[in-house]
Formats: sequence, structure tokens, C-alpha cells
Amino acid sequence: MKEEFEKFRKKILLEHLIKALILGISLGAIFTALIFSIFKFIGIDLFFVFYILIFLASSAGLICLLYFKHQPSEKVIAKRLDETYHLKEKTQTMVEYPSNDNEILIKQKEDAKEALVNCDIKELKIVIPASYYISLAIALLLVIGSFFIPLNENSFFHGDTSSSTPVDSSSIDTSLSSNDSTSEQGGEQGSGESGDESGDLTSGDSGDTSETTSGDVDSASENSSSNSIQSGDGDTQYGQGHVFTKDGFTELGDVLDDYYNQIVEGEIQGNIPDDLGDILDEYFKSLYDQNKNNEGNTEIQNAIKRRML
Amino acid sequence: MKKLEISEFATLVKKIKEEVHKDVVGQEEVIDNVIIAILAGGNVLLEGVPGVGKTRLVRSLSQTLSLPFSRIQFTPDLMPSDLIGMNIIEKDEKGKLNTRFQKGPIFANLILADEINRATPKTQSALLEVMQEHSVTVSNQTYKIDEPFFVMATENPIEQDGTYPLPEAQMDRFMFKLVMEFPSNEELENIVNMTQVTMDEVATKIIDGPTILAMRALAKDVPVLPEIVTYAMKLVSSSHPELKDTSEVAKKYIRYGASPRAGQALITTAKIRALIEGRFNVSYEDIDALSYPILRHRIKINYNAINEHLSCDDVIALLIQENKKGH
Repeated sequence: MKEEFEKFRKKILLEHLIKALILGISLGAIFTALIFSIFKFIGIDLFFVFYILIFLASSAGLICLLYFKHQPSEKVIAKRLDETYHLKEKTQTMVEYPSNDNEILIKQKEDAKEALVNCDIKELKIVIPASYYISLAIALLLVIGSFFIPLNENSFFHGDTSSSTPVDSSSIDTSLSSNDSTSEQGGEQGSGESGDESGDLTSGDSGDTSETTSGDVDSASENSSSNSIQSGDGDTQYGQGHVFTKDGFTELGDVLDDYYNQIVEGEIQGNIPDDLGDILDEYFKSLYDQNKNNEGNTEIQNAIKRRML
Repeated sequence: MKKLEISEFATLVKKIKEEVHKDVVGQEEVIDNVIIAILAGGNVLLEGVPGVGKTRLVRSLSQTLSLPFSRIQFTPDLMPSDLIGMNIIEKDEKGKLNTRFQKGPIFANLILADEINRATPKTQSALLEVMQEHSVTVSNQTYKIDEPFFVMATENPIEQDGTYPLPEAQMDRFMFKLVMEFPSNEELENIVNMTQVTMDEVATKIIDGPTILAMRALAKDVPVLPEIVTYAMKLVSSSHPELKDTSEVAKKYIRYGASPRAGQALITTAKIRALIEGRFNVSYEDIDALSYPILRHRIKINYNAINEHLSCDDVIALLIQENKKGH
């Protein structure tokens, strides 16, 4: 009985394994997509490898669970054989009554064995229901869809609560009010005394200075409270309304570009002293020197480069 | 008890069928089912128009089975004592009066109750005990009837005048109700040709009473899957419209459902059918095939079914269909 039944059992177990694989991968992918989406929603941006590991681990676990927990019993296999080969419940009866208590049971087993011997294993098709493929397709769609979920930058977990806070730009922006002060600062910048520090831009009326060293770009954005550039007479403010994030180098680069454009416009309108352009040139050169080896701040570097060119 | 080889079972049944076919033309399904009922120890109600061979079939079977046979023609004036017998007073050699039980024609192994619905309910009821318990009680004295014992009753479906429809309790005691259809043209020709030679039954003895009992005992060991038993019982219970989880078919078309005897009969006869078919296990196919003769006299269809021109067999087919869906 064993040998005849075993070959069919192996094929049905293979089918079960394929089903477990499809379903396990589908559920693993859905789980990973869910984790991926949740993490993005709460602002945690992890390495992609991490998600691959989650997928592999969850899929493997689910495949094992589905394969071993729901492994078809001998009765289920027998039922399948009876239905496939129209054996009129011979195999099921053989499995249900394993004892040889009477002559009829012995005969029944012989009969079932003979029937199984005559069955062609090729007729036993591996059947994967359409629902399995649908679940796999849904899982793939969910995975693809999860890539398009934007990272929540406003989240606590994103690591910068200041992202939504208006930046005190006093450290990087300065209200420009007097020729004297700017020329004085420019002189300092031009002398190159600042060394590895960027030149200080001092506002004419307040006398505040801000250190905008490359290392402090982030802190500058963190600490900035006003990102305006005020004209000499105080009528015009430049660069107001910019919002920075801790790693928002793009925005910072844009701000620098914006400042540059405003200064150029101010020069044309005669609101900015002539020598302020030179001072800024020096300032940007200094910034560039400090940032050129700083990977990651490419946006700032590019902005500085544009000014220098 | 006589010991019988399993391999002999199907061979013997085949031989019985061959012998019966010497006297009866066609009626394959009826003959198969009559043999199943005999081997299962059940009674059979044969229904058919006059002349289709009901009586001939029973007589032929009695010869093949070589069993003591009684034919009782049921009439409105037939009394229970005419069937089961009575106590008679007789003088012994010394002149002393004694009562002695005179056995009626019911004391045989094979009874042909011809036109059973012509007898009054009182006489019909006299058969209740003997059909179920194979015994007769007269004046507080119970007499056992020799095994095997079968009652084969016939009734005519068209002549209703002067008849007494069988009560439900009586009907339930028949394991099968078999309908003998009118023969085809070809079968009619064969019937005419056969009876031109002789009108007598020519079937010869194949088996005897002890062999029938041995075959019955052998069939009891045929294994049945628990799922098949559940399926059969569900089929029976789904014929009851009053039950909570009954079938839609029963709610719509059935007035009264089948009794538990139907369930017993389904499993018992399915085992015999399996052996006759050369199998050693019961199949769903056996249950489905035997549902018709077992249920058709046990369920009463309602006016909805009659209105939709559905016969009892049509309703049973719908029941089977619905039962399969839920299984």
C-alpha cells in the first residue's frame, strides 16, 4: 500500500509546497510592504537591506508555517486521488481502515492497491488555484505602492522636530545696513584672517554676527529665526519666509541662491553698497573651501559654486 | 452459519440475475434492487400496471432462491387470521379438546402480497409485526418466522376504486419501493416469444436460505467511510421540511420527510450494492443510486411539487443535488 500511495503523496506534497511558497511569499511581501509603509509614515528611513531581511524572514517563517501546519493528511490525499481517478472512495476507505481485521478489509486494500497501480501519476495535475496568483499579484502591487508613500518628514521619528519650525536665520543671514560695517567686515574677509572660518556678516544696525561655517550650516538653520536680508535703509527685507530642515540641504542651497539673486537685484537698484558684492564673493569662496570636502552638502556646494562663477 | 467467500458474492448474484432473466424480460434496475433488498433482509413494494411481470418476478425469484413461497391475494374481505393463522380447537386421541395454532400463509420465507392495497387497513396492519420483527403474536403467544423472510407486495397505481392506501407506518416497513415501467417494443416482442414456449417460470435454484444469510452476514463487514454515513444521514434529514437546518428543496416541495429507517436502509443496502459491483467499500454513488427506491415512498411531496409537475423522483434528485453541494 505504502509504495503505491507514496508516489502520489509526494506529488501532492510538492503541490502543497508550491502553494505554501506562493502564499508565504505573498503574505511576507504584504507584511514587508506594511512595515515599509508604517516606517515611512512615522518617518523612519531605514536601509533597503533591512526591508529585504524582513521580507526574507517573514516569508520563510510563513512558508514553513503553511507547509508544516497545513500539510495535507493521508485522508486528504486519498480524497484527492479518489476524485481525480474516480476510484469510488477506495483510497479513502483504505486509509480510514488501516487494520486487517477481517477478510473484506484485506480485500478492500488489495482492490485499492490494484486501482492505484493502474493510475497514471501524470493525470494528477499540480493545481494552483487562481486565488493564489491573485494574492501574489496583490502583494506585489502593495510592495510597489509602498515605494510611493512619501517619507513623513514632520514625524517625531524623522529625527528633527525643527523641520516645521521657522528657522532663525540670524546665524546665516544678516541685515545689511551700513557701508562701513560691511566694508569693515569685507576687509576682514578679504584679509583672509578668518582662516577656516567663514567671514562674519555683521548687520549694520544691530551689530549681530553670525558664524556660517560649513560645519555649522545645520546649526545655522536650526538657530536661525529670521532669514531676511534687510536693505541699507531697512525698507526691503530679503529671503524672508524660508523654512529649513536639518538635512534640508536642498532648501539651504536654494536659499543661498535666492540670497544671491536678491543681492544682485539690490546692487542694480543701488540699495546695497558696491563693496558688499566683493564681501559676499569672499564669503562664498570661504564657504566653498570649507564645504568642498564635506560630502553630502552638495547642494550648498553647488549654490556656492554658482555664486563664485 | 454457512461460510461464504467474498469472491463468490458477486458471482452468485450474477447467476441469480441470469436465472431471473429467463422469466422476466428487461427490468434490469428492478431485478438488481429486488436482489439487494432480499440480501439486506428488506421488504419490497412493487408498483406497476397490470401485466408488467410483478408476480412473475417474485415467483421466479422464489425458485432461484429455493425458498418456501406463499402467494396471498389481498382482497377487501381478507381477514388478519387468514394471513397469520389462528388457534383452532381439536380433539386429541383421548377425546380431549385442545387448542392448536394453525399457521397462516405468512409462515413462509418469501411472501407475495399481491395487490396489497386492496385489503382493509385492519388486514394490512396484521403485516406490521411480521414485516418488522419477523414474528407473529396470537393470543399472547409469539411465533418466530424462519429466516430469511421477505414480503414482496405489489400494487396497481391506476386502479384506486375499492383500494385502501397503505398507511405511513406500513409504507415505512418496505425497504424499497420499485416501479416497474412498461416494457419497450423490443422487450414486448421478447416477452411474447418467451411465453409462447411456456407460461411457467423456468428459473432454477441458485442459492438457498442459509446462503442468503451468509451473504447478508458477509455484507455487514463492508467498510463505510464516516463521511459517507454523514452524507446519507444528511440526505435523510434534509427531506424534513420542519427541521431547522433542512434543505431548500424540502421547504419548497416536501410535506413529510423520510423516517430513520431510510437512513438504516441506505447504509445496509449500499454495502450490498458495493459487493455486487465488485467493490469492497461503499461509495457516494451507492447512496445516490439507492436513494430513489428508499426515499420515494417515504417522503410525501406537497402541492407545490404537484403544481410544477415534479414527481417524487424529481424531488429526490433535487435533494441529492442540494446535498452534494453542501457536502
